[in-house]
Parts: sequence; C-alpha cells; structure tokens
Amino acid sequence: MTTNPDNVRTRIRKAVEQALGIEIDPAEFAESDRLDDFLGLDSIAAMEIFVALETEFNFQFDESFYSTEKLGDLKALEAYLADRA
Amino acid sequence: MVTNSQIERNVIASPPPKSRPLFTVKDALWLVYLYPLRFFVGCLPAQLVPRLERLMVPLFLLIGSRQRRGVEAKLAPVAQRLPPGRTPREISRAYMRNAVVRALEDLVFERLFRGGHVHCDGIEGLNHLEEALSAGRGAILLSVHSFAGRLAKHQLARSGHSAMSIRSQSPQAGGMGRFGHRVLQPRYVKFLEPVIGDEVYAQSPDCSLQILRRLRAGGVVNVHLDGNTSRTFREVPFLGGTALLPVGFLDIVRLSGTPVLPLLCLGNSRNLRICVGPAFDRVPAENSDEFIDANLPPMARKMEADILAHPEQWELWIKL
Repeated sequence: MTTNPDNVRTRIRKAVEQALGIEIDPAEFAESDRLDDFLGLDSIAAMEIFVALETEFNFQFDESFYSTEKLGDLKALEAYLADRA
Repeated sequence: MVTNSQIERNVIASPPPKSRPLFTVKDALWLVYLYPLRFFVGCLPAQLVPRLERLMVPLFLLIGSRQRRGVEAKLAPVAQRLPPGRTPREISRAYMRNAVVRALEDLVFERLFRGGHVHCDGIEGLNHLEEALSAGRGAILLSVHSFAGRLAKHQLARSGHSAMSIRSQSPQAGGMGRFGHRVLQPRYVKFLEPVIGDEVYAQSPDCSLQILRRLRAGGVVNVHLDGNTSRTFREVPFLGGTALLPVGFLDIVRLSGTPVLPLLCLGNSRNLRICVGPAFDRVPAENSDEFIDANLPPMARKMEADILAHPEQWELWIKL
C-alpha cells in the first residue's frame, strides 16, 4: 500500500506540535528539509518528538534513528515513516 | 514542596573564562595532581596507596582549612538534622579525608579492581534492581555525587549491571584560572573517562535519545539528582535552603515508563557499600510540569535523607 507523502508530512507536523506544545506554520513546515534547523532541537525535544512519532505511527524506530542528526532529516524521516504508515 | 517555576538555563558550560585570572592556587594543585602525582602514583603498587593517603591527609587538612570551614558553614543550617553525636567540625575533617582518598583511588582505579583491592560485601537491595529490570523498561539509579560513586558504578558493572552516566564535557570550574580552564580541565575530563566509563556527554544532542536507547534495551542509567547536566531545573527546598535540581531525566522517565530507584554509595575501596532501594512510586500526570511536581519531591527528600545520614560522603558540600 502506498501512502501520500503529504499526509505523512502532516502527521509528522502534528506529532511535533503535540510533543512540544507549539504551533507550526504548515506551509513553512512542508518546505523544510531539516527538523533541527526548523526547531533548533535540543536533546529532550528530540526525544519528545521521537516518542510522539512512534505513538502517531504506531511502531518503534530502529537503532539508527536514535540520533538527532538522523531524526532531523525531514525528507529521510518522511520516506522512512511512509514505509511504515 | 516544589515551586512552580521551572527554570531553564544553560549551566552545562562554565562561565566565560574572560573574567578568570591566568593561574590560581587551584590550577597549581590540579597541575601537580594530573602530572607529577599521577606519574608517581602510577609507579606505586596499588596496595601502597593507603600509606600515601596517611601522608597526604594531614597535609590537606592543613592546606584545606578554608575548604573545611566552607563545609562547616554549609552544615550549619542542618546541624540539628545530623545523626546524633556528629558535629560539623568532625564531618568536615572526614569529608576532607574522603576527598583525598578518592583523589588517590582515581589514580589507581583500574589497578584497584584488577588487583582485587576493592572490598565490597555484595550489593544490598540488588533484588530491587533486578525486579525493576524484569519489567523490560530498564532502570534509572538515582543518586547524589558521593565519593564512592565511581567505585560503586564499577562494582555494579561487575555484577552485570553496567550503568550509563551522564557527564558534562566542560564542568563548572570554580576557582580555576584560565590555564586550568583551558588546559587542565579538559585533561581531567579525559583522565576520568576510563574511571567513570560507560558515559554519555550531556552536551551531545543525542544525549536523551542515547539514554532512551539504553533503557529500552533493558539497561541501567545512573542520574545524579545534584548534578548540573540538564537544561531544565526545579528549585526545591534542600538541606536547609533551596537547590536547583535537574529534571530533564524526569521527562525521560515520563516518556519511557522506566522505574527510578535510589542508589546509595558509601565508603572507599577498602569498605565499599552499595545500597539500592525499592523503586519510587510513579505518579502519572498529564504533562511534563505536573509529572515533575508529583514525582520530584519524594526523590529529593530521599536524596537529602541519604546525605544527612552520611554527610561526610557527599562530594558537593563544596566543590574542591
């Protein structure tokens, strides 16, 4: 089954908003390449997002994603989550 | 009771070195410790270190009189809560002695374990840790900075429970000059890597994720409630005053469901004592602030009680 990447991006945004208790401009988020540039992620925020994404997509990240660098790459994250959505 | 103000500040980095003098007495002591003393002790058999302690303790009691008075001043507000018969003066002397013993033991740390010179009659309450780990969410051992902490951590590792520590790459360097800050402190941080072992630096952007990974793998993480390796702190009543306690770990606890157990480390290599207590009751909450409000106070009270029961074992009455 294929998933529309836009929907995945929207779900990522909502998970990030919920995790950090913030509102994100959808248009700006849709154009962003890196989550960490966009939000200035610190270590705790990265973990909050990590867990929120797992809850939203109902799965557990594999070992390689325990990294802010990897988690921050929105395009790669979106592709990874699209496979699991 | 916890105050409502959650405090965020960057205390991981030391104050800017611009305001420091070039070289201080503390720099001189650290220079001697990290170079000539380290090389000299490195040539001694580990079992001779206690003799060196006997020589050095009186010297440090003499040159450390200002520090001793500092410890006594910090003890004054809690004097009524100290164990019967214990006085700030006697505790401050024991504190200085423990500081010297620990500094020397750090120099021969690996050889102490390799040579079987660490004497510990088991780990009290190990069943609490094993019970907590059986739930499959890892365990956080909560402690304060005690002189026996590093020995205890290695002893735990030898019992099959290696605990990850969270360390600052540039700890606060009060009393150090620019030379100490730039040259000696990084050297000391490096020197302690094999002593502390199994660590993650708080400055790493992946710090929390690495902790989460360890816990999800069923591992153990050691958190110091009196540490400064966090970006969020809460001001709580502590030892007759207030203290800013790091609370970042409680977000990890909230999100991972990991149990938190108190860890008490006492003594030195000749009489190491390690006690793990039963897990703190976990109070669920809607959000981070409420979770901290509900769960931090009993943890702070337990750590405070441990310090007051064994005041000479707590490193942070003053920073040497």
